[in-house]
Amino acid sequence: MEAMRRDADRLLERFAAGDPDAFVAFYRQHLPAILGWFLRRTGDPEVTADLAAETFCAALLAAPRYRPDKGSALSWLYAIAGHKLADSRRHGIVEARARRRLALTPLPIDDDDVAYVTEMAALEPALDDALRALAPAQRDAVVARVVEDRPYGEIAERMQCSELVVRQRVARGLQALRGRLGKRA
Amino acid sequence: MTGYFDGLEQQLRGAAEARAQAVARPARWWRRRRNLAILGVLALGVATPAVSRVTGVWHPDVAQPPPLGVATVSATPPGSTSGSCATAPQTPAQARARARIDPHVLAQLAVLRRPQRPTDLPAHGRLLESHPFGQTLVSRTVRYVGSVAQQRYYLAVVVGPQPRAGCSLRHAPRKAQLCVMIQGASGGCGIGPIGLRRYGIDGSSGRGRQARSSVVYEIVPDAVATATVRYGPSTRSFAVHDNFYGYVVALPPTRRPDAVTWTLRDGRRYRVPGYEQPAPPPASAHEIVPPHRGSG
Repeated sequence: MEAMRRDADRLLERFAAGDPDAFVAFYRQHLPAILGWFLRRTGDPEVTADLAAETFCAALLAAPRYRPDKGSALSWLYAIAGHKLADSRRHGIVEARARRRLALTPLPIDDDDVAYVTEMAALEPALDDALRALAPAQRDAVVARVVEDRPYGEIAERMQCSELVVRQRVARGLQALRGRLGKRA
Repeated sequence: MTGYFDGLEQQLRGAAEARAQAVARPARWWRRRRNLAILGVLALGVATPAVSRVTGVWHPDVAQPPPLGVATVSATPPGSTSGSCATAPQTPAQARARARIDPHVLAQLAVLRRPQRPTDLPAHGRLLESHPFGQTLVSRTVRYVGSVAQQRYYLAVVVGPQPRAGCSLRHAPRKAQLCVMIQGASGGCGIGPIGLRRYGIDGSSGRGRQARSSVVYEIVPDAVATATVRYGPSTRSFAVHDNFYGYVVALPPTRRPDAVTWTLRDGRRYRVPGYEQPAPPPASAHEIVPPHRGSG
């Protein structure tokens, strides 16, 4: 969990420094957890999808003002999610203020999206446990490659090892994850 | 991931890139917000009367709600009396709420297909009792659709006499129909599936002909993403949420928009008939806004 927190902080700092890919990685990394958090509170997958979209857009708008010394990026993201949920309950409607400010076009939600929300919400605690059970080097390699979508060369440089080693760590990490999640299913 | 979340990721990537570029670009003096505000004030000072008139029409964020009186709802072009009716004195409810919603109407309004929520129940208890025309509310079909100027708007289904020209309701057939209820004001009913698809349900509320401002709202079919409204030379677009949008305009409630254009989710635009052009035949209206094909 601590590693995930540090990852989130690092991604937001990178985005604030002008790296747009960092925010996309932040979105990928925390979308399942945010979906689970909203679904447990609303019980409605469509509202959950809408709230998650609004939360990430608000986070994107507020990211330049994020101050790591005031708390972790994860608690900051969940604070935004909490505000969005409270606003939607107060007004009876999920606001789209942040999406409008970013000029995002409305996206239709279909049955596949609803199923995805439900699956992700169910999978999120299991995935978290399975990730936590990986060896630290494997977990870092999987997160950097799969979640953050970083090239192998860059990960190798960061981890101070060869590209081949990174590839092995990612492959073994994913295999271990498959095994653990497969056993659960 | 799926279409929705992949689409969201792509849009977030685009927005993140745009913002990253904005951060990287040095702020020039005219890009700074404070200087822009000063420029804006100066521009207002030297603007021509025409510009003043344009900017003075819209009041989407008024702090105080305008005094609201009688509300009207219409599914027909402005100026026409057919199907449009001011709220009548209340009469006792006469029918039990057993009717079902017209499936063609249901197929066009996502807000009616979603489950009912606690927020759908109006805080103003009398609203449900004093719904228009003394009709009977169909249970579990009240949906909160939005707020404008601190007035809450609800879409509901009632059973009652079908409003006709001149509002002679006594011998009219009973039918389930869509109504708009406004907390703190009144509301109105009367719309069919074709009318909904062609015109939406529009209405305005304010205090009489002399009112300086009024609230205007519209309930539109599913496919509509934004509505663009024009008063004289002034045009503004509104995003649709829960099939609803609304705004406050510095004009009396008798003044209707000169033109309303719907932009559908796929980008097509549709001029709502009755404002500047003759109504299209019903068949083409069907094609313009396709009904929902989901399981709901």
